[in-house]
Amino acid sequence: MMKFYESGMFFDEMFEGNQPKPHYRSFHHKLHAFTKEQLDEKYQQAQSTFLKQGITFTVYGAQGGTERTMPFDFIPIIIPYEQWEVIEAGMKQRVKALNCFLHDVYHEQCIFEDGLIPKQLIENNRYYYKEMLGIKVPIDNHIFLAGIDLIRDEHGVYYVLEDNLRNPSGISYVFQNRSVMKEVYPEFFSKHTIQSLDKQMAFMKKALLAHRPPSMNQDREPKAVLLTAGMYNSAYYDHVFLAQQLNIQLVEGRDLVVRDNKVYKKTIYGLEQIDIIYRRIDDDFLDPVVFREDSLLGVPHIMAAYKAGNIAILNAVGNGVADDKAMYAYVPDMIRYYLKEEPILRNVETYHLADDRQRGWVLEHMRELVIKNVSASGGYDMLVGPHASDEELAIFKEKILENPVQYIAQPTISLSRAPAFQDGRFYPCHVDLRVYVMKGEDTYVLPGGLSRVALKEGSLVVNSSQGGGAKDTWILKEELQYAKSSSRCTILDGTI
Amino acid sequence: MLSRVADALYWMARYSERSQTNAHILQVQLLNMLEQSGKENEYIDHWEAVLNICASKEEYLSFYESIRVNPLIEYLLFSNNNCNALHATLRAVRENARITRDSIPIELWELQNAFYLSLQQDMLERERPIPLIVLNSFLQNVRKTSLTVTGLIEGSMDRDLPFYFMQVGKWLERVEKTIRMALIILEQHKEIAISLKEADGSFLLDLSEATESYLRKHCQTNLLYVMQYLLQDKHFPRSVMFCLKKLEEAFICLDSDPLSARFLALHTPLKSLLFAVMNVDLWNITLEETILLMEERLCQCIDFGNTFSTIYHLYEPSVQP
Repeated sequence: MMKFYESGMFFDEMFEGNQPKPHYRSFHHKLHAFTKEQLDEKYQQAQSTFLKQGITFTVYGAQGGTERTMPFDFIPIIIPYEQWEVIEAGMKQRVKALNCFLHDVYHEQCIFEDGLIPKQLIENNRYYYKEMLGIKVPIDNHIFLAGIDLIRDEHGVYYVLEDNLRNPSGISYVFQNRSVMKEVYPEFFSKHTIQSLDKQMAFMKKALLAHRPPSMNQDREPKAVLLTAGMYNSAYYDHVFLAQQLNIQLVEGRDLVVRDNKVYKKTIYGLEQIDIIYRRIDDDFLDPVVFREDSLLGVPHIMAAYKAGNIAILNAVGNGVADDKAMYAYVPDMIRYYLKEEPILRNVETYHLADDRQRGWVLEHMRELVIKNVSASGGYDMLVGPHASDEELAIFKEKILENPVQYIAQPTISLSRAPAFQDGRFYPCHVDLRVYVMKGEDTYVLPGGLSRVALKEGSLVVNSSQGGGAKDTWILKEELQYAKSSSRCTILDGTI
Repeated sequence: MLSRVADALYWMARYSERSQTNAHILQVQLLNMLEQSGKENEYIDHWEAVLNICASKEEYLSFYESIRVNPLIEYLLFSNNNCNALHATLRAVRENARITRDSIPIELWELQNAFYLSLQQDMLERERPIPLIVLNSFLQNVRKTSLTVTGLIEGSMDRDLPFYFMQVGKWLERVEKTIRMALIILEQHKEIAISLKEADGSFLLDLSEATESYLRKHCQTNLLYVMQYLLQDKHFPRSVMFCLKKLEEAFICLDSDPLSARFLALHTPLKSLLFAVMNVDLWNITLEETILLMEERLCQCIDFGNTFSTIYHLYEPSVQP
């Protein structure tokens, strides 16, 4: 029998002390049927499946890019239905409020007039695009796909860590993790009823096609494409997967051209008009005429077509204004302001360093805090106080004093842990969960999401570019009896 | 279909065909070489022919001083200086497959990707010179993978635009290669004293993978007979005639309207090429005339490829080795 560990000071997804929690019991039981050698073999099989399928991301380093697979850990994160219900409702609420905020920012700007958020926060924001002011986006929706990161503290309470409203990546891994899990570890699925991912792509497609551009003829079916930066982009696999699943063409900037404020794709029969672009390149690169001149990825004059209402661009341009780390602190206020509701999911307390009083306090307590650059992501330009050297602390102090608006501070949270199996042993690793929200006429939350795990022991960074891996996420179905009783009903009705 | 994707499919098929043929040619020569000595004329001639068919002798000599086996193998298989080295063409196949992942069977991409990754691991890091037995089994693997790929395409791809773009790439590459092989063997003949009618064609048969098929129907391996076979046989799948017929089939499927400008622009030059090949009479012309005739056919094929790219708005090849 294999050795586990004790959950200790941290909240553990699977264990309470040294005993598995009720919703993990049958998984834990199954696990004991395997020897270390069998698990090692399965591990190799799973990794080679990812490599063979080319499910890789590119790591940029000294020798150009190298392809790596995201390490996969087979112990899933299991979430009971009641907990998921709360998360799901919280996600819908949050995305709805964020969308209201984006609409407000680019139209009336009431929230600033009413003094809830200081206006300089958007004026200082590099993702705030004046070009977007007054533009009416299809179905008033700025957020087609959001990726919202959740963490749990030492008591197991969920907190939103970050909103990603520009180009959240990784959704393909959710599907691939499940498919590899089913292929390599089928044994673990028995005795569990979990929510399937099968229908989710149909929801996503429905949400996508709902974004008909304003001046589009009503009796025509919209034609959509996915705009990628190309196969050397780190998330190329994500793009291929989505294009395939949504059954839309995968295009690069050079495949598109704008004529008379309409967007066309270059096909073997000449030009064909398109209506919806799910773009996976950043705002800056979209249109070299309006944004970065040096962009080779974008399409000249696409913004003019957007303004003319001839094309839908998803997610909308300028969403970055709502998802940076400074704006994050105001999301609970946005929920109260726009929806007149109390936030369902909690935010991590956030200190703004532009504020003299808050900055003074933070600089005295740097050892207990995490300090982040508001516009960095991927775990870069970040100081984890308790783990930092004196030198690092001094460097950050200087950075903050030089440009206080650029930084925020948050208390360190003892991130929850879950067991991982690597190199023949089990050990606890910190985890977080990215939940995907798809929004069209309706809002859908992908059941589960991408559980990311910091596989380096003791590490807090879950990003794949820095040694993070992924796990499958299981949402348990409500109750098994429901299925049984309903099927009995059908038989009695005689309507099989 | 996007022009860029059509272009990548077309080039993937071309590079795939090129890799397979070059692997075969190299395998033939590596085995032949065992029975020859380095001093014989034939030995040098054969290597020169292989070099000119798979790459270019001139370009090779700008990097190396003389024609010697180890540098030749390095150049033809792995060198970054040679854009038609096997490693480069296999990389181009994989990169083009990656671009077209959503138009080809998933298994096809997985096969090409896995093969390329294993090549990276097994061959490139190996100490040089690589033993003959290892090289041979690698070349065999290239060919086996190609055979699996062909089977996968034939057996599992919808007969739809992506399929026919790949077909055009494959048959066009093949027809050019067959003509090139014949042309290079003819050019070498200029240096030799014996007349064309007495020359032996078994090396050309070997290179063009035609030995088995040819010997079932003929007993003499006279060069002119072999050439006629490679040009005009209706059943041998590497003959010029066969490839042109396959191209015609593909065009008919790509464009259902036989009166459209697009169809006519391609079909007319194809018909004239077919006619020219059908009427070649190798027995009543000189060696120089034969060479000229082959050169003309090769040019016609190359022009034809360009016309195809223009008519279907294909780009310049986006991923070239």
